[in-house]
Amino acid sequence: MTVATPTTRTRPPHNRYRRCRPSRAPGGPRRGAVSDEEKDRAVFIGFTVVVVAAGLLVAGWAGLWAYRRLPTNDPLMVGAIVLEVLLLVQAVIGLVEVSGAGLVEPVTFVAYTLGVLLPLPLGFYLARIERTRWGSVSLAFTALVTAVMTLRMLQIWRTTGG
Amino acid sequence: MVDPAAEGVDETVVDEPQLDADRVPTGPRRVLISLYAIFALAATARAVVQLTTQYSQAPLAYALSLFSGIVYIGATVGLVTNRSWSRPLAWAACGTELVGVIAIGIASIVDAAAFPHDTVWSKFGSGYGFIPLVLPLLGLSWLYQTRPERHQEPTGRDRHGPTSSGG
Repeated sequence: MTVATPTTRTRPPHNRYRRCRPSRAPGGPRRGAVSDEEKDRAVFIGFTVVVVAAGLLVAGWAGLWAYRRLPTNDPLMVGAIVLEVLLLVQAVIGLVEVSGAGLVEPVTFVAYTLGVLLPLPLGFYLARIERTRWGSVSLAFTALVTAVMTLRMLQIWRTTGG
Repeated sequence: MVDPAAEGVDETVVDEPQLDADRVPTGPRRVLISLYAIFALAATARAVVQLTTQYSQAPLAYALSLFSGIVYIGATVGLVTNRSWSRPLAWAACGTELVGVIAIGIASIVDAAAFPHDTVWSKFGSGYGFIPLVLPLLGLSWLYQTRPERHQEPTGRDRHGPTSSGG
């Protein structure tokens, strides 16, 4: 069997910066000890960041198409569908976990979770019937709204009352 | 699901049959529809959530949110439909909206204590990227530029010879 060649090892033998990390407060939670609840919250936050990035991507793409006076094309529409699917998954995760998340504004959160599903189909429909640059503008705007609403959801999600 | 646009290249240039709206540009109108529909959703949902969960905290602000939501719904309906009352409704809604966003915007800055909870129109809609301030201007300018008397001349036939409208 072959062994790892020593020349490819780039990690220094001793990471001196590791010692500089702030030590835990006395009596505080042990570093690295993450409860299941916190893991679930982190999963949702990570997913939300993906959704925001996807929303901005679709918005920028459609905006570029509008700038170039083009109607939306098929890859862009597929991108919008993918974004909507991501939103649906996000809604499922959010609705499943909202009860245990201890949010200050759970009703607002649920309203956003469901409301964020609505703009994109509208933009999609308008882009379908309006085969000009204005259809691209509609899709760009609705995708941007989706990203902004998801950011607001993230904000509400992180506001916990303990 | 197959996107019909994928079936033929011609799809992009085919004009679908339209009503009278054919002669006026439909593209900006559809963008306005998306803008107004989203703000109708935003304002109405916000008002409903606030009124159901924390009505007693700031009834005035939440009632204003609901009012602005209704105005946005009116504008959306006026833009989507194509009836005799559509344009008057859109005019009225956009006008109300402009007055409202300016009045509430000034009031919320001058007398901030009266508006402890934001509405869509507070501080000229700064919480919504000032779109609430720009939106009625866009709507009114679209309504003005596409007003019927400006599109009286039939496009297909020139019964009266060269048009003499100065624009």
